[in-house]
Formats: sequence, C-alpha cells, structure tokens
Amino acid sequence: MFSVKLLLFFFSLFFLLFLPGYLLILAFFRNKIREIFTPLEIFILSPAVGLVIFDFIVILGGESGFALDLKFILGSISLFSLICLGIYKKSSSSQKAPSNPSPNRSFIFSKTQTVLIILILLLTIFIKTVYLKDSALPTSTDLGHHMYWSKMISLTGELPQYRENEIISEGENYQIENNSIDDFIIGEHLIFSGVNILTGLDFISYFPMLILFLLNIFSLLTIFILAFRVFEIIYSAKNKLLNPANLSIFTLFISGPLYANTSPQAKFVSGGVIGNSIGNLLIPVSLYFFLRAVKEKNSWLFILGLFSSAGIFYSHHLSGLIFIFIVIFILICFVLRALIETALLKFRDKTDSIFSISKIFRDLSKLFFTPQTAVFFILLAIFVFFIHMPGYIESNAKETALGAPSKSTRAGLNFEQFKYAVGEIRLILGIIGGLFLIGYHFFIKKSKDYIDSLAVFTLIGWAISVSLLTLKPQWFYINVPSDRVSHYANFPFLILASVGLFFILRLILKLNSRQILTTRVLIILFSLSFLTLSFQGFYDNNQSLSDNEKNQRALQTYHLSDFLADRLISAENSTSTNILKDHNYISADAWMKLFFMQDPNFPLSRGYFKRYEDPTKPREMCTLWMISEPASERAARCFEGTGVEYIVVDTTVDGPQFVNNPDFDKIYESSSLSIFAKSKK
Amino acid sequence: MANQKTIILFTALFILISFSFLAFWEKKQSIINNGWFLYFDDIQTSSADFTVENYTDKENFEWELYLDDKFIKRETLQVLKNNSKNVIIDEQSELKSIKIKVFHSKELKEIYKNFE
Repeated sequence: MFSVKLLLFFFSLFFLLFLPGYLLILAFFRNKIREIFTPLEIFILSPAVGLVIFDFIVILGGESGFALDLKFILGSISLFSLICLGIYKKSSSSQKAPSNPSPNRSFIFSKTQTVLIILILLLTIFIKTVYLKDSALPTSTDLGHHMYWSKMISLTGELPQYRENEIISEGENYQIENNSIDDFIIGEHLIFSGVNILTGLDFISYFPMLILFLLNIFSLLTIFILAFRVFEIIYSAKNKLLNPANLSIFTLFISGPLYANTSPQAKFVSGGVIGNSIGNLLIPVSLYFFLRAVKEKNSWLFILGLFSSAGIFYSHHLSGLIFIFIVIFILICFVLRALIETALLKFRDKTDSIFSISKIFRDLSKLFFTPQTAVFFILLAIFVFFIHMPGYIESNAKETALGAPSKSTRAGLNFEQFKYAVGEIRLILGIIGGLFLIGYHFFIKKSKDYIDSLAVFTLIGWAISVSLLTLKPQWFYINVPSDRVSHYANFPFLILASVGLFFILRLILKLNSRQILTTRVLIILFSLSFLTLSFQGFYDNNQSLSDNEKNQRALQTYHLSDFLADRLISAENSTSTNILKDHNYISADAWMKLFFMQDPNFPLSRGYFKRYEDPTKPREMCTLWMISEPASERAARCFEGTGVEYIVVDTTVDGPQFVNNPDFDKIYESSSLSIFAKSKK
Repeated sequence: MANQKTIILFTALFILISFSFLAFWEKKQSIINNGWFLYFDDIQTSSADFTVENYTDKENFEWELYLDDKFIKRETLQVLKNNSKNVIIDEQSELKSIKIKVFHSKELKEIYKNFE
C-alpha cells in the first residue's frame, strides 16, 4: 500500500505546508507559544499558514528570476524554516519562559469529550473517503483546467502567463487570437506544482484530489477551533451544558459526518473546486486570528490574520470579495450593537458603556501601531505593488465580478433554493441559534467587555453577509454566480446550528425541571430533533454519491490523448495542427490538454450547447459547427481559419456526421470514442 | 493537553490511512479493465499499418482489408489481454481509400483513410 511516491507525497505535505507554517507561528510567538496556542490549535493552523507562506515564497522566487525547480523549492523552504527556527531558538534562550505557561486552561477536553472528538473525526474521514474513492482518479473539469497551469509551472519552472487561444470572427472568416484570462489566480496552482516537483507524481493521479481533501479536513478543524474560541468568550467553561467544549464538539459533528459530502465539502474535493476550497480554509483561519487578536490585543495574531487574508486574495478572487463583505458586515453589526447600547444607556442612566470609543481605539492601536505591524504593511505593499499584483486587479475580472447581475444565475437565489444550498435543518437550527445568541447577549448575559459583542456578531455578521449576498446580490452590486456564493453560508450556519440545537435541549431541560415535561418525553423530543438533523445530513451525503463507470470512460480519454500527443507533438513540444474535441459527451475531456501542453484551449472544445444560445454572452460558433455540421460551408471556413485537423468525438453520438463524409478519415476507435482527421488528399 | 495530543495523533493516523487507501484505490482505477482499441500507427501518411490493443478476456480477433471499398482479405489475429498487436499492410499506390474492419465477439470497429 505504501509506495515510495506515496511516502514522498506525505513528506511533501509535511515539508511544504506543516513545517513552514509551524515554524512561522513558533517564530512569531517564541516562548509565549504555549500561552497563546494549544498543541491542537498549532496542528490545525500550521498547514493554512504554510500554504500562504509557500505561495508567497514561490511568487517571490518566480518574479526574482529563480527557476522554480526542485533545488529552489527545497532550498527556499529549508532556508525559511531555518530562519524561523533560529529566531525561535535565539529568543527562547535569551528570555525566560513564563512561569505560568498554560493560560489556555479553558481549552481542554475531558476524556469523554476527547473520545467523542476522535470518533467524530473517524466518522467524518471515513464517510468522505468512501465518497471520494470513486473520484480518486481525477476526471473533473475544473481540476483539469487548474492542473494544466500547475503542470505548466512544473514544466517551465516559471510563473505562468495566464493566456489562451480564442476563436475570433472577422466578417465571415475565423482566426485564432491569443488573449489574457481573468479567472485564474496564481495561488490556486502553486501548491500542486510544488508537490509535483518534490515527488515526481503525475498530475493525472491521486495527489491533486488528496491535497483538496486535506484542505477540506483542515477547514472543518478550523471551524471547530474557531467555534471554541467564539463560544469561550460567550459562555463559561463552568456551564454544564452550554460550554465552549460541548458547543464546538457539536459544531464539529454537524460540519463533519453530517453533510460530509455535500457542497462545499467532499463534493468540492471531487469536483476540483480549488479556489473555494482554499477560501473555505483561509476565511475561518483569518477570522480566528482577527478575533483572537482583538480579544488578546496581540499584534502578532493580528499580523497572522492579515497574512492569511492576503493569502485569500492571492488564491481566489470570489473568496476575497466574500471575505471583504463578511468583515464589513461584522463591523456593521458590531457598530449597530454599540449604538443600541448607547441609546439604552440613556434610559438606564448608567455612566459607563462597554463600548467606550476611546477604549476601543486604544485597543486597536495596540494592533495597528506597532513596529511589527508597520513592517508587515510595508512588506505587503512592496509585494503587491512591486513584486506581484493579483492578476484580477490589473485585468477586467473585477469589472465582471462587480455590477448589476448579468444573468439570471447571478440575480440571487430564492429562499427555497438557499434552504437547499445550506441544508434545510441546518438553516432552521442556525436561525434559531442566531436569534437565541442575540437574545442571550442582549437580555441574559451581562457583558463586561465589547469583545463579547464582537464574538456574537462575528457569527451573526458572517451569516447575514453571505445570506444577503446569495439572496440579494443586486443590493451590493456584485455579479457572481449566486449558487457559488451560497456555499460560503454553510460554515457560519453550522456553528449557529449547534447553538440552536443546544438551545432546544436547554429549553426541554427547563421544561422538565418545572415538571412540564417528563424525562421520557424529553428524551424522545431531543432524539427526534437529533435524528431529523442526522437523517437529513446523511440523506444529503447519499445524494452526492457518484458512480464508478465514469473512470473507465475517462481512461479511454487518456488513452486517446496519449495516442494523439505521441503522434502529433514533436520533440520540440510543438505542433502545427489543431484539435477539436467535444465537452458534452466525453468524460474527463478537460484533462486532454495536459497531454499536449500547447495551450489551455488545445484541444479546442465544443462547450455545453446552452452556452451557444446564451444571449447575455454571445460566443464563437465555430466549435459547435465543426462537430455538429462538419459538411457545412460555415464549418469549412472554421476549419480553414482555426487549423483544426483532428476531431475527437463520442462515436455513437457525433460519429455519424463524419462517417459518410469523404473529407474525413477515421484513424482511431475505442469503445466509445473516435478520432476523425481531415483527409490528406 | 495530553488529550489534545491524542486527538492530533488520531487525526494524523486517520488521514494517513484514508490517503493511503485512496492512493491505492486510484492505482486500481487507473487500469483499463475492459474494451479494446483500434488505430492506425501512422496518422500523417498513407500507411495502413494498424494496431489492436486488447483489454478484454477474449483474445481472438478477425480483421478485413478493403481497398477502394473492395474486399481484399480476411485474417485472424490473436491479441492477449493487456497486450497490443501491430499488423503491417503492404504499401499500395494510386488508391482512393483504405479501410480496416476488425471483429471481436459481436463488436465491429473500423478505421479508414480517404485519398481522393
């Protein structure tokens, strides 16, 4: 089971993600590390921090003219790690460790809770593994597109120029033009190149999916520790039921085994949705660092928050946009809370408010106005303006993402659709949890600090922002697919859902203590709500199961691509001919480009039929005509203008229009695919 | 903190087992376990040499050669499972078309080149 390459793969994950992340955290906090983090938190946060470090190091190296090869990756990561280790060693020998190194006393779990967490993790990873086993062989379209760029980085040792060939019409004639692409961002591709360079593993193998799986597992674990740190502020650890440990374990349960496979979880892993998966890791990581930075007035935590946020913007523009809205909404909710408090104070005749502006500014100045924060901002500005600016800032991607919705799919979901995107029961429990949290915060708990409000409204603001962005995007002038935005709503709602379920449990217990309900009824009621939640979660998992047949069809595509590349691509890695393939009926066709490495649009592709009928985005028709009506005059002009000489189609569906056409040869046939070639007369 | 280290240990162990299983499974899935392939060896010239690749349990194939749509000959071909066999066709000049038909069980595949 353990091959050398697999062991190398595990080593590469450790070396590229865990090691630099761990050592940077160690260098930042030095001998205070145990005061700030528990071992579990360091373990969970290291790969996310490591991912951002790796991206920045490789971008810096690439822009500085270094060849991005094995030597560079081993050397740069080792050097970075040694510097961090040196800083840690130097300061820990010069300073005494604090006498009380474990103020993280509240972040502890009993033996029962520990067993429960381990069982939840076992169940989570087991369910996801079973689901993903049919996707172990990569076939998804998105992942195919991304892996082309990762392979390009590995092959050339340079940061890629995101450009592609497009068919342009000039009157009645057609030609190929090379244009820039707005959708791809460097941070989505580097880690895959890094692992490939270190291990030599083929891109068409298990490793891209396993990296996404790792990101998914750690995003759940981040939600778990974020939930703990939020609930730690709101609820006392002494509370028997509503305590941070119980609530965070329940959050892990809802986010783990329940809904393990639905979007944005294992389904995104098998679908190769890299940007969202990175966003779903780095958004909670950033919120975690920012919340703790404000609570503990720790500028190093604040810098880690800024660093993780920068990682989002270098990885995925949609996640970056959503993150900006999340932060804005958290601040709006917090300010509204402060205004309500100020208004209430007039009636209560109190003299001091917990929302003292001078105190808040004093605390924030401890984060912003420190030498290390200033150095970080300067370095970041140099990086952004002089080394590498995210591609979408320079291109027109920001203009396509901002503005009035251009399609019905971008005009927002209705509540019914939103309900299914988040999960019906999870949404209901999340709303109950949110309302309870607000009520508890306003009427029951006597807050001594504004941090309490910040913790509550981090969850509320997060949930409201992604809900509104999904339901009413036109209010915010954003123009992105609403169903993709809806997946960002899962995480805040599942944290709130755990509060909702505990609220119900607490209510039932109160009714029982007042002898309104008997214990038996109480057990039945709670079991019913728990079973409903579990049933719906597992039902949603079941809906996501995929079939195994597609893998054999994908292998045919790989065989065909290998055959064609072997015969067409010269030793200089070039070809003068062009290929066209169909995307509608061919499995894993997006991966064909990895066999040729000519251009992201090589082979050219006949896209989904609906795309040719989209009135909001008129597009070239050549790819449609050359397969659907190859004998037509307009197709002949397309063949001439694009240089297409080979056409790859499903034999049964699209073979007939070529078979009786004397202008085409049939040079290859497998169980379902054929290659037709323009006859060489 | 000992409990947290236990959680870390188990999480790492679960990830290792899961990833190893998925890697093993991917290797298993990467094997073509059914079907057969027929193709011309040289796709850029008029050569009619062709190859049959077999991934089925049945090893016996029959093939027919047609020149200018006229039947020329029929021969048998044995290709072991997970193997391929190349067939050389003598070069012909002044042809309008070459067609190869291959029969396997009840399945027929054909490839052809047109020159006129």
